Amino acid sequence: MSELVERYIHQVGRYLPSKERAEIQAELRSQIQDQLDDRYEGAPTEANVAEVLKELGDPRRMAASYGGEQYLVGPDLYPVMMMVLRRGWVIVPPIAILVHLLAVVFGDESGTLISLLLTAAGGAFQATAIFTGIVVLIFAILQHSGEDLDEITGSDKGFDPLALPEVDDPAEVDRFESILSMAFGTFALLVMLYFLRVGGLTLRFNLNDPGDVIPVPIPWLVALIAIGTTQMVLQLTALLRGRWGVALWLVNVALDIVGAVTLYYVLWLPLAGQLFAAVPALLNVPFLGRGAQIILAISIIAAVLEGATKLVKMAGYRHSGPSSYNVKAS
Amino acid sequence: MTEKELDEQFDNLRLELRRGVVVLAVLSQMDTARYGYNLIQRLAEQGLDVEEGTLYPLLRRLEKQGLLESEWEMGEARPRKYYRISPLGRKVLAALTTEWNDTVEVMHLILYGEKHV
Repeated sequence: MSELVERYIHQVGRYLPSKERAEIQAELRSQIQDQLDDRYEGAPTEANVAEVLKELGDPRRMAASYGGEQYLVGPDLYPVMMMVLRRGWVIVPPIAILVHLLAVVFGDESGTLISLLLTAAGGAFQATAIFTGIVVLIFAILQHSGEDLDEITGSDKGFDPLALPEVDDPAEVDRFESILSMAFGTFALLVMLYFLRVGGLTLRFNLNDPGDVIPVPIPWLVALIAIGTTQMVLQLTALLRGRWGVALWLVNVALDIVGAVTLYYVLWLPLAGQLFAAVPALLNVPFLGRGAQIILAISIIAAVLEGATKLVKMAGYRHSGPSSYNVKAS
Repeated sequence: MTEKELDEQFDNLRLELRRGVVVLAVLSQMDTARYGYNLIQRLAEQGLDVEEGTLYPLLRRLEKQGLLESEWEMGEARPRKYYRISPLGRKVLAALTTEWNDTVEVMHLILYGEKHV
């Protein structure tokens, strides 16, 4: 099978519901082969293959015409959205409650235990609702912006089969990973903007009465917001282009590292400070006394390792040649 | 409206007009089991050009609706999926054909002011 055909089928598959993907791909493969055989008697040049693929049309549109009805979030994205939401629903409420309780414990807020628990639960509920809203919104935009995005990125000049990305290209953007990090990124950015507004850490999400705020250095908070925004833009650029280039990836990794340092000053150091001020004995516990620094070191190492692994894969990647029949050089 | 926009609008109208016709044409050819590309050629020979990007998803949709049945044929040069009309498809084809004939009749009267002979 021509390698170009495989690239086309791979791209169509990316936009198909997983339940039907394999069968539609198999059928499409045999249909394209039939057409190639009929027109070029089994010896098509790469240009011939490209011509046939161009007639079939843009892979995303091809996949869409297999999709049937339209939804706010279609069947191809819905499972991914639910996966993101389920993870978020597990992660967001405990974090919200934890930050809230920390603020209560280290602050001088007084009240009955029940009223404290109620406000903590209220904060967790608000955080979860905001997270859910953002995720659904991002997915709805992704679902319906296909063609407009094409125009923005300039791919409305027509579909060029020869420019199809390789199969298993390590630089290819993992849509799930990308959407997941964009959803969490948007949520985190909104939380950071809220922190900036109230001057520190708290998750009560009430501008008039943020409760007890753990103060953080504002310049570092501004830096973190800038880095987060830039990374979202990078992520979106890669998603629209379909692949990470080396330069784009390097910038992203560099921002990961600077971001880890920023997070240390905005989150870990103030939290550790509050903890040790409240319970000084903890400073003498091995490792815990240097907890913030250890988290910083681990996040930097993780960022470098992740960055390097992908770079090595990109550098070592060569696509395999055609397998079942040869495409003459055009 | 620019010429390009006009072309686009005409294309959309034409596609809309043809959508139902293609379903009728496909169902009418499926007494014999056919694979996708073979059906495209068959329709083209008789003067109806249908794009691959339209026909392949359509076959699958008609199968999901129970109007076509399919089977993978593994014995040939490559595996091919053959489609054939189902008993339900036959009933729908008969009803659609009647509907089509009535429509032609009525449209002829509307467009030319006389009954189609």
